Amino acid sequence: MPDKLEWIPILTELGEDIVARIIEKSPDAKSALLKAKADFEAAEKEAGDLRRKGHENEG
Amino acid sequence: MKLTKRSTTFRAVALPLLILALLTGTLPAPACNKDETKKSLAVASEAAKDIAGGTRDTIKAVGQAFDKKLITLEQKDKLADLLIAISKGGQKGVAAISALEASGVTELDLNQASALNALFDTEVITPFLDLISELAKLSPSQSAAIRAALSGVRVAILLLSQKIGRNDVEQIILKREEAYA
Repeated sequence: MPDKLEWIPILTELGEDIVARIIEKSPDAKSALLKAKADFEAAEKEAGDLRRKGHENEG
Repeated sequence: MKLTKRSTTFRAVALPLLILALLTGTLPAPACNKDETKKSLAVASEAAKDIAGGTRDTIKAVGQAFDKKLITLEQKDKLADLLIAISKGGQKGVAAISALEASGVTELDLNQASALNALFDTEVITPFLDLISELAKLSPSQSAAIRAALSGVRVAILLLSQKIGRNDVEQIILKREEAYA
């Protein structure tokens, strides 16, 4: 199993993403909803890709 | 009527702006309950955006944990299924908030509140609680980044739940976390 230290760069990158999102506030509800819609749609696609990962060679 | 250069300029510039503002609803609303609701909807929208972003962070963290062989294929699949459920549920939630925002709802009636709560419970809270349960089966070293990413989703869910009058959600989440502590 990889060492715990391997998480450090991942956590650093993740922390940067979270902080960027906290700082970046939407100007209004409409903009926030548009961004939420786009992100949820992207999340569904990415989660689908994640689900298929490792099953590529299955019949 | 004789038009001065100034009034002509005013009509040329201000009138289209006024029409645009009326069409897009960007004029300041009178101080009333509608303002509060707009503010609440803005906070709810921001929280929805943060749940969406946090969900994407969690998906990325699960993928990285799988790539590093920290979690098995079966564990990854279970987490991915729950993340798909949250992503689909989030889209339904955004559609519901958008509909409220578009129709200028100032106060939710009983049916609207009940429908919104049912949607929130089944489409967002349930898969989120199941994610907590699944992560509890992993060791801290297996799940460090996934837990960190999910904490962003947790904060945003609590914020959104407060805005739709669901202060009980925090207790439900805490109960689930304590059960697996």
